[in-house]
Amino acid sequence: MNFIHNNRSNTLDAIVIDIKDNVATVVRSLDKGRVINIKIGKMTKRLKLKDYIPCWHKVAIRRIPKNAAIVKYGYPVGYAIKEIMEGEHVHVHNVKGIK
Amino acid sequence: MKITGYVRKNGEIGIRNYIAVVPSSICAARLCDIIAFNAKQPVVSLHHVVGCCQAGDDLTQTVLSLAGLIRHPNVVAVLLIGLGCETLTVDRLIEECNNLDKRIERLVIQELGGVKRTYDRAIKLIELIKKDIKRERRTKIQLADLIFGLECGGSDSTSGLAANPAVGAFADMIVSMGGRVILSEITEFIGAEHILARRALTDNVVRSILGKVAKVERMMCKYGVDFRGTQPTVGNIKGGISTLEEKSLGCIYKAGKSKITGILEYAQRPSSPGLYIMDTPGQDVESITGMVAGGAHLIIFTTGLGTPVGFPVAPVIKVTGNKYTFKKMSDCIDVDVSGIIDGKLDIKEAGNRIFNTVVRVVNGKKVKSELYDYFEVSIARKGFTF
Repeated sequence: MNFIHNNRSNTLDAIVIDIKDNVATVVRSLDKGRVINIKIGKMTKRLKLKDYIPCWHKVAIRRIPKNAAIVKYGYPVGYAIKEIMEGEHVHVHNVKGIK
Repeated sequence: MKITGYVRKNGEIGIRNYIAVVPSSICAARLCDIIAFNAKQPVVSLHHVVGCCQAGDDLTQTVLSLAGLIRHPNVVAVLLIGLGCETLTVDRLIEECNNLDKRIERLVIQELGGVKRTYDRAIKLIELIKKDIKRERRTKIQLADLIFGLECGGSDSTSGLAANPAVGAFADMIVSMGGRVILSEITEFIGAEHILARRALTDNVVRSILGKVAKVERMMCKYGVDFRGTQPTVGNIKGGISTLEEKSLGCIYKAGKSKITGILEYAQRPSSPGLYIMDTPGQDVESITGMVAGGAHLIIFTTGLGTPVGFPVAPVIKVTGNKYTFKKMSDCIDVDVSGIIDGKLDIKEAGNRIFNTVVRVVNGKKVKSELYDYFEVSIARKGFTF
């Protein structure tokens, strides 16, 4: 039997705090191109990183349209100033605060 | 696990039997430290630096805060020490604490004749008090009888991911049991005030939350601080925080998801069950002092970087989500929830871990700051010393 090696790690790579969130926060620096597993509630989702994500920074776990809310902790924490694709780094270059 | 405490004459519950040595003003403060240091726990000093040359609201806040600490059910007896000529004399403070249900001894340095005579008298009184309190017995209590204060300080990127969500899970447990929880530090939730306001139980509470935040921002403008313009900080941004809203939400997450029952003034007591917000500054010690003066039996304090801060009238349980801090600052931290970051612990389990620690501490287990006598008291000011 052939097992196809994947680059899935057994350790946690990113945390999704609330099931309504559209971002995950990574707990280690992760290279562009890496595929990570994230838990959203009881479900697991595979996510391919489109950017290098520094430790403690956010990555989009769904596509976020321009002007849509960034949701973390189940609430809006800012809005996208341009379209953000799934797997992209979410931070000050593409997010603005609400006030 | 059985939960026990001391039921006082007035029906209130205490979880410690501290003998508090309280200065009515800064001039008697050092003597209180010397007495507590030599007599050892449960004798504790409530060293503070106010009580003289104060007026108006500023003086009232000091009086109410000290009265709240003197009345606190974790304190079984009090030695109140004054110089004699200060603005806040011991007699004025005793008058404020009318109908006190515990032993309070009055010592005035200028009456007794200096430091050594006052010290000797205090030590003699403490020996008598210690004999007296040997009769105190613990009986079964409920956690819902207690008031919990929440605090955060020395935050880092793990605070919003691990420690605060874990404490939030614990806070939700207490509120669902009918207990009382206090969130404080208005400055720390600028940016998340509308979210908090949406959780308010009544319109009055909505107005109070928004009003308090607006007041703090106006005050900062007055001092030339452009708060929103400098938040999040360069350090926050490096650590992944993108907006002020994200930073503040991470902070208020330690209060869980319950509705907000009411707003408390500094040192005001919450009377009915629920989650409250107390108007305190963002400075950790002033915030803790206000919550304990308002009756908090225990403080749950999240910290990413670690801090030694404790309080002489209520145990402060330090919680971190940073495994390096837990090792490096081990004499400052009580609970490690870094397993959330490693994927070994989920938030609910971490909340249970805090719950179990709380039960042990309520039942008498000493927290690190009690073990090291690391206590700090600071009453928030409303004006200047004149």
